[in-house]
Amino acid sequence: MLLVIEGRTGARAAIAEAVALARAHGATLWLVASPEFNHPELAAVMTRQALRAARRAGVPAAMAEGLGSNEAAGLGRIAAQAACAVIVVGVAQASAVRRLLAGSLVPRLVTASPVHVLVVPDCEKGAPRNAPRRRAPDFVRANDQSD
Amino acid sequence: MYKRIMIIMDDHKASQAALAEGLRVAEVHGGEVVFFIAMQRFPPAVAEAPYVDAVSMREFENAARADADSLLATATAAADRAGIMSHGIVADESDEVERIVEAARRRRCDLIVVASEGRNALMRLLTGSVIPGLITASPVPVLVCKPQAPAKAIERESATSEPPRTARRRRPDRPGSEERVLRSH
Repeated sequence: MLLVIEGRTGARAAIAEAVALARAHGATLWLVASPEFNHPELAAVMTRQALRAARRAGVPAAMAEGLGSNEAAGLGRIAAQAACAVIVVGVAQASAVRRLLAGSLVPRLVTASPVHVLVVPDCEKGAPRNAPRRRAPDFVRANDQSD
Repeated sequence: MYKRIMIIMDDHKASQAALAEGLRVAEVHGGEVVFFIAMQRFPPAVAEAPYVDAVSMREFENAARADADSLLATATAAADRAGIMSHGIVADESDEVERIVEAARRRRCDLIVVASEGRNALMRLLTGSVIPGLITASPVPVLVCKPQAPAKAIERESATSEPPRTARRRRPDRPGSEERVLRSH
């Protein structure tokens, strides 16, 4: 299972979903930082959070590298190399047209991925209006700064 | 984890991937499925184009309803063979995304499964695919299935995969995390 780490608060929902799904299926969780990150420090924090969440859940997890210039194709290549059955990615609440025009990874990934893509809507601040509030499982704790 | 899974189906061959994967997920998680089938819509008349009245609207709608019912019957039979409880919704195609989201909320679905038609994002927007809008509007995760993905995709990863739902389940072994880095070339 390949999880795309993104630098949004609401993207913790994708981390929680991936960890819970990997735990349910006894799968290994591969992590890769999204190239849409503008802050390497935030990328490192989110990645550490994801690794800690996986450790708490008893899920084997590891980093994947080598995305390349074409991010969507790179994710597909990594998923194939690691024999991942699904790529998990979060999505912020923006319109489809806006995402396409802004070059969001999600539409390109849905097109290019050779494996299934699980798109997880952001939670908390990124939650859509009138949506039932989805509480992230305890694997991922807010403001987790412990090492 | 996923107790009620909505599977979006239409007459495209790609829907079979959504059906297979949705039933597989339901089997692993001990959930039930809700089939959402959108009937084909009568094509609107195009201004300035000659209108060929080969099929009346009523005939078209009757045929569309028959096709949708047949598709639902096939999907339900597949669920029955897998021992999975299923429900069905047949809706007309107007405001399809809104109807799917509303149905998922009403039925308390926690996952929506839909097949990718294989077109790029721009083509999906232009041709009215539900995927772009569904990803935006859905309050729950959306699993976009690829027809060419390996069979038994999610199960394959598990070295100790869950037994069929009729048998007693046990948690798979969970080894501790280890420091590994995969480098793709």
